[in-house]
This record gives sequence, structure tokens and C-alpha cells, in this order.
Amino acid sequence: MHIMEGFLPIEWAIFWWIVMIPFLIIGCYQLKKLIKEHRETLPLLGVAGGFIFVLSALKLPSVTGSCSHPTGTALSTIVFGPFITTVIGTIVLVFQALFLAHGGITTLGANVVSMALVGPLVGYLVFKGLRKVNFNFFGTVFIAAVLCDLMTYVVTSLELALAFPATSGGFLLSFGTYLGVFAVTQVPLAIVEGLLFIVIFKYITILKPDLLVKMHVLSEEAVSKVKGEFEE
Amino acid sequence: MKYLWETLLIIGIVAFIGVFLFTNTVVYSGDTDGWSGSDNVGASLILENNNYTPWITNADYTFVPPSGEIESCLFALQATFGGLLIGWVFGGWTTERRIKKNNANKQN
Repeated sequence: MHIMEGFLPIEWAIFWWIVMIPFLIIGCYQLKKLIKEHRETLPLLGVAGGFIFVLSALKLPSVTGSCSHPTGTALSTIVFGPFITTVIGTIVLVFQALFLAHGGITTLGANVVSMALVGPLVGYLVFKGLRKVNFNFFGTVFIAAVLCDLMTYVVTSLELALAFPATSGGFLLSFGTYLGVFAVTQVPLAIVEGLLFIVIFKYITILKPDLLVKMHVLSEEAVSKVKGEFEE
Repeated sequence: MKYLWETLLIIGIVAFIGVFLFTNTVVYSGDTDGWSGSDNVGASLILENNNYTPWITNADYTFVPPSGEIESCLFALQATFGGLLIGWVFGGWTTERRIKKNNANKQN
């Protein structure tokens, strides 16, 4: 999903930076508040960041004959919300731009918006919506994690299609072409990532259910119910 | 089932590897251009379809890994850093839980 350095015309690079900045500021504010009010969640925040570091570094081959990487944003999104994920994702993307020549500083806005803002935001809204109607917890985690991953690549395709509409066929044709490159490759990776996050949430529920309750991911009754599901 | 999700994850990973092996040996057999990054494929499309020239590169302002091997090494370091953090925290939580369990057993 990394749009390479210089691969967005300057006006689009500036546009995506302008879109990113307010959410990054909100994320920094929320992060500061979280550290002040819930210091005990810091290890979990570290784990959430750790997963973004690990999974976004893994370039895996997929069915379409190209390689891509998971995003790892689901844990951070579900527990801490999409905007704190924006901050963590930005740190990872800056690291990759400066030390790995992967992505770039001018395309950072676009890359943050896809991987660390819209993907997590969609995943978060779906998670909250499904939990509200009491959909199964692990099923909800799976769907949210898949969407966090997949939407990242849909947004990357959208960003490129907006910047480079096809000369005949325009935006839609271009969007379809980039979806074919980015999103189709991502489908199997997103499914495996969804399964991985189910297992991660299972172990957090076993080891530190109090943190999930504190962050309003699960109520105490729901923790007992969820634990019952895998202790049967 | 106690380990339902772990089983499903393993099945998912095995299926993923199986699909890769099938695609690699049957569909892309002898194709030397296969398995490049989707980022590179996307970039090639931009260059081909739009007659576009990037106006800035990473080399203009920062370090660029001088070879594919060094790039892989740096990605591995990134993953290691994240993995150590995850292992350290989960290890701490597991130990804490074990100590609590032992203390509870002693009191009983």
C-alpha cells in the first residue's frame, strides 16, 4: 500500500497531508489523555504498536502473483480507537520512509490516510456497530481486522485513481485497475490477518481481561461469556 | 472447542501456503517477473500509463538501502523490534498470571 516517494503529483501529496494532519492532532491528544488517565494500558499500547511493526514488515506472496503485507492495525484500532492508530501508524510509516526507502515523506499523508486512518476508522465503526447488536465477539474482531486491512488497499487504489485517472475511461477505470493490483492481492492476506487477531484477542482476554474492560472493548459480563466460549 | 481459533488460524496459514505453492508452480511456472511487490506493480502502472516521472526520490533526502539484501535485513530488524516488544509484554503477563495462580493455590 505504500505509494512510493514522488509517485503522487505535488498537489495530491499536499492534499493528503492536509487530510491527515487534523486526525494526527486528535490522535496525539487522545494518546496524551490515555497515558495520563490509563497508564496501566501502556504495555497493551506497546503490543498494538508491535503488531503494526511486525506485520507491516512482512511482505508475503499472494494469489495474484505479487507480494503484499498485512497492516496489523486491528488490535490498536479495536482497543484504542482509529486516531491513536493514526499516530502509531505514522511512526511506522516515517520509519519505513526514512530508513527503508519504502513510501516517502511527500506521500506520507496519502499512506497514513490509507493505512492508519480510513482502514482503522472503517474497522472501528464496523466493530462498534456489530457489538451494539451483540454479534459474536470473535466474529466481530475477524470482520473488523479484515476490513482494517482491506480498506487500506482500497483507499490506496482510490488515491492513485484520483491522481492518475485513465485518459479514456477516467477515474473509474483507473480505480478498477489499481484495485486489481492492490486489493485483490490483499484478500487472502486480510483473511489470515483476521484469524490471527482472533487468536491475539483470545489470549488478551485470558491474560488481561481487565484492560479490555477498562478500554470498553468488552463488559465484565461479556468477558465471562467470551471466556466460556473457548473454555467449553 | 478449546483451540478452535488456533486450529482455524493454522488451517488458514496452510491454505495460504498451499495456494502460493500452487500459483508459483502451476500459474507462474518459468515466469521470472512474478512475486514482485504490489507497490512496485502499482508504480510501474503509473509510469507506463501516465508517462509520469517522479519529481522526488528517497535518495534525494535520506538513506536508501544499497541492495535488496540490506533492505531485507532492515525489514527483518523492524519485525524483530516489534516481535521483541510483543514477546516481552505477553511474557510478563503470562508470568504474572502464573504467580497469581500459584499464590492462590498456596493459600488454598
